[in-house]
Order: sequence, then structure tokens, then C-alpha cells
Amino acid sequence: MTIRHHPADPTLVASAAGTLGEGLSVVLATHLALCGHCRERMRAAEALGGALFEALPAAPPSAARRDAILARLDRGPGAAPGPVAARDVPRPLADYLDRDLAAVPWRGLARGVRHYPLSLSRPAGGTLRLFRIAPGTALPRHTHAGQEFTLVLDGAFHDETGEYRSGDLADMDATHDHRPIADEGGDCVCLVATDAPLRFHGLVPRLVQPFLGL
Amino acid sequence: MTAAECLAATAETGAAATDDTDLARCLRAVAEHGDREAFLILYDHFAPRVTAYMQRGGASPAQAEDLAQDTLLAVWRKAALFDPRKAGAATWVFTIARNLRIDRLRRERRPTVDIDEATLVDPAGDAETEIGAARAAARLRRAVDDLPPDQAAVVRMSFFEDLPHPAIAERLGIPLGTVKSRLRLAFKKVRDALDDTGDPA
Repeated sequence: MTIRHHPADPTLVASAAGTLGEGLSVVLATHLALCGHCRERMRAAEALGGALFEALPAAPPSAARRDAILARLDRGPGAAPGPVAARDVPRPLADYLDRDLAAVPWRGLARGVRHYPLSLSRPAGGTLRLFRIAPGTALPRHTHAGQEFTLVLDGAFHDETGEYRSGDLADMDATHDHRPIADEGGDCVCLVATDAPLRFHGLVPRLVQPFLGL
Repeated sequence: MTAAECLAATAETGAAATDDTDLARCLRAVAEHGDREAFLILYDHFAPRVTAYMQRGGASPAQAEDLAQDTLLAVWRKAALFDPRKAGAATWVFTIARNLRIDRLRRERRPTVDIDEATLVDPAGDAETEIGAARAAARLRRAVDDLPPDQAAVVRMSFFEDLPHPAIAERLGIPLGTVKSRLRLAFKKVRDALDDTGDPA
């Protein structure tokens, strides 16, 4: 798999800082599972966090707290977790998808467009859903109130910004205005997340998304 | 690595802050022997930092101390997952604290990220890995210290104040694109510092 489209640097910093919403984090983590280049970039972003954390002012801990934690070290360090059951999608997505990708009960949304919404732990985490687009189908032109990540799992699509194939992540925000079209040759299956306007406390206008409630 | 060796190594580095390589050795002693003395070195170093981190993220002083205890307990239990080829000790503890902050303060779930999972053994020996990691940590520290104030400000707001980029833009009264370009520049310096394989001056 040759991956050509990767998350932007500020996206990796947001993820390392813990400020990326849950839905976007699932798409990013699924891309990381497929992309060694971005796993390396992610380690650098986390190392930045580690360096800042290390430099925080630190007073000595109290003796009482020290004694309290020693009393809690009652069992030995846990072993590494065992292998996870094999699934047809990477682990981060498998944790959110209650069945194999091959067994998803797709729902019709528009001509040539089917989808399957995935649940997040809180509504404020944004939206996360799978799309299955028939070859040659064009989606309505749209822009984004916040961020939108699209990860291609199968097939391909293209828009004004390029050609997206399996493993590619399209990292889009309000500066992008695009009209994705599924390539000929097979259905395009994508994992798409948007962040929740609610997290931005009214900074982002609550646009009624022109595209399918995204 | 026993607690005694770990302590000796710590002492060798002098009165200055405990070196990240020594802390990594302590993590290994905890993983391999459930070494309580090594754990206390980790505790004394990291618990106050986690407390400060949680308070900056919006926790009350009491809540921050509780979260620090729970973070260090997770360090004890997960020490076997620490991989010095992938992260320094401070970075690894930071990610545990960050995940606990998301889980407890924000009550949200996050996906399992594969960069934490075990991979094939690196061909480089332990000593070589340690030296390389120590040098990279020193270069990284200098790079972070040398960040221009405008870049350092957005990076700190992102990591410590739990603010998404649009909120940072609003707080500073600058366009979102400027926040992102400052983060991009800061991140480039970090990557250059980590990638630099030459010997430090």
C-alpha cells in the first residue's frame, strides 16, 4: 500500500496534546495503524509533549501521598495484553465497529451513497461513519465547519485536491471546498469523521451542513 | 537492573534533575522485578509533574493529586509496555497522564493507538539505544527551550490548557491559520532535533 495523503502536522500535535475529538481520533488512529511514516511523526509530536511535561515546575510529593501509593502496589505489574481477535479492519476501527466490514448492514442515504453511523462515547465527540459510494458517484460540493477526516479503506475517490486511495487520509477544514467523486472500478469505502461544533463554544458557525448532515 | 544500580546511576548524574535514561532504567526495574525502590524514584520525579499538568488542564488541587496517584499506579502496572526504542520515560508517562485526563476530566473514550503496541525487536543493542535516546532527549529539550515565544505559547496552550486550535486562535486574537503555522514550525524543529543523528557539540 502506497500512502500519499497524510494528516497535517497541526493535527498530529492536537492528537498528541489530547485535544482532537473522539471521532477524528478514531480516523487518525486507523490511519496510523496503516502508515509507519505517520507513526514516526506521531512519536515526535508526543516527544514534544514529553519535553514540555518534563519542564513543568515540580514540588516534592508529600510523605503521606508517597506512603498511600506504596500501600496500593499490592499486585505486580500487569503483563502485556494478549493478541486481539482477527478482524478485517485495523484495531482502532475494530474497537468502534461491532462487526466485520464485510458484514456491515449498509443503509441507503442517496443515489449511489450508502452509510453506517458508528457510536462515540459522547455526542460532543463529533460524528463517525462509514460510507460506501458507488463508482462514478459525485457527492455534493461542501466545505467544513470544523475538521473533516476521510480515510479510504477500499476503492478510491478524487476531488480538487487529488486522488485518494486505500490508506490515504484527507485532512480537511474550513479552508477546503471540495466535491469528492468515487473512482470507476469498484465501490469506494471510507471512514469519515467530523468534529463537533459544540466543542468550539460558538467559534465555528453552526452551519447546517450541506452534505448529508456532516 | 536493580534499584541499587538504578539509584547509583541516578546519583552519577549529580544533583541536577534525574536524567531520562535513568528513569527509563527505573521503568525496566519495575517491569522486570516489581522493584519498589525504583518505583519511588519514578514517583518522586513524575507525581509532582502530573499534578501540575492536571491542574493546568482544569482539575482542582485535590482532583489533580488523585489523578497523579492514579497515573503513577498505571505506570507501575503498565511498566512492561514501556519501550525505550519508541519513547523516552517522560514522554511515556506524559501519554498515560494525557489519556487519564481525557478519560476522567472529559469523560470521553479514545481509540487504541498502535504506536504503543509492541513491534519487532530493534537490531541496535540496548546500550546503543540508550545513548541514542539520551542524545535525542537532550537535543529535543534544547529545541523546546529555544522555541520563539509565539510558537512556545501556542504549543503550551495546546498541550497544557486542553484548548483545540480554534479556541487558541480566539484566545490570542489571531487567525486559525496562524495558530496552525506556528504549530507546524514548532513541530518541524522537534522533528529536526529527533532526526539529527550527528553527535551533540
